[in-house]
Amino acid sequence: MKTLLASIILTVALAGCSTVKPYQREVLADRAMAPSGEALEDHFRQHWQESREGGAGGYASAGGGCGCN
Amino acid sequence: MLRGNYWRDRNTRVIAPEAEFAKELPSGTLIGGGYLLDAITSASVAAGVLSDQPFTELRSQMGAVLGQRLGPATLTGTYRYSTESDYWAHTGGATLALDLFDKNTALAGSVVYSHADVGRRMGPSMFGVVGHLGSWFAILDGAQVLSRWALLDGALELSRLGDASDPRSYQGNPYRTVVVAGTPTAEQVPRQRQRLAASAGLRVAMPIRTPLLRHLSFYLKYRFYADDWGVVAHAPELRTYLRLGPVEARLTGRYYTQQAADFWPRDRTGQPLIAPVYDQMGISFGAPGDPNHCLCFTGDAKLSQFSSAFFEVRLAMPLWFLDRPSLPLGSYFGASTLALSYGHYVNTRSAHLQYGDAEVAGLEWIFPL
Repeated sequence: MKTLLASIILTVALAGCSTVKPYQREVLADRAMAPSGEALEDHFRQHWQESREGGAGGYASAGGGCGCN
Repeated sequence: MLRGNYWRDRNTRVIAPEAEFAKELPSGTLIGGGYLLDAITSASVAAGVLSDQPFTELRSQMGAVLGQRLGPATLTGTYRYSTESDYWAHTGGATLALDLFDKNTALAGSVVYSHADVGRRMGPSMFGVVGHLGSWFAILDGAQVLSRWALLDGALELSRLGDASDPRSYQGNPYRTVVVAGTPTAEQVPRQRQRLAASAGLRVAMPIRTPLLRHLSFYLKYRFYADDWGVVAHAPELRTYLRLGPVEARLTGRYYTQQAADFWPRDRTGQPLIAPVYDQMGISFGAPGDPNHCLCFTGDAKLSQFSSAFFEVRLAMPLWFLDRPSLPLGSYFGASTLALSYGHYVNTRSAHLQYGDAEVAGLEWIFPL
């Protein structure tokens, strides 16, 4: 509960960092700056990393689903 | 999007073509789907058999996504099915995403459940089910615009793999053996594993624009991982993006290091062994009355102490030159992008002993729907 509350407070605080209007997002709209711009490639990388490393997850999508143990 | 993936290490070669599409309809409905085929060629010694006979196994994976945008929120459901000769998995999940403060803040929460049946081949056409694995994942992720040139993102994942109270809960590899008291023995690991992974990343674009260098940005990210088996890992990564004329180049460098699981064998000084050899009948994990307790022993290098490094170069180029009236569907192909990547993966200690280094490559064609 404390963690959830801290997360909400942090989100509100960070929102005060900057408000960039849509017409100011020329650079942020670039594919290199988009968090989801390399989703398919990152999914394959996550797949082979989980097959060769003990650590997994933490990248906004659940892995697993194969017998690559 | 069409993509071909390639992986090659000492024992295993993987060729994995895949296709994926995503589309948002005018009504705000999101639809998507994908298919992946894993063609895995391994030396069977790597799978635990004494004689070395290469064999190829096929894994099919298909998935679907359906979502609906509701004002600043988007609710999405996902399903994925994976099948191979000795492993079958169903994965389903739901995600709620919010765009806040004029889309300067994005938050998402997901819950995912996966059920897998684990089998063991017994000959060319027979197999037996050795157990199953039910896993829960809870994921929180977000992104925050810091300025016109910078973006911060992060994710937190909590997961529980298996169920300690279920005697059929299985997390090992039925083909992997390890020397225990001088005898090769099928590995034995705990039924349940609880994991925590947290990542943070910072994307920064440089305000540089010349006729040749049209974009320069960096993506620095770090992931921390820990679980109740004793594995603790750190993974910093840096990606550099450059756009030189029409070509986008990306350089990636990633370092990874992890500690060994509590039941990995150690020498007299307490240092993890490189080769997994157990002098006695396993290492006690968990309290004797704990359902997750076992006398554990494993030959899985993923549970050992090692480090790795990955370096990759990726080149992407829009196919604008195909936009010609004389070419059928020229305007369509002209709006697509072709990308080629190549990477080299190196590791140390037990991981290098078991897997060796690896080459990773990819070819991707991205086109609008």
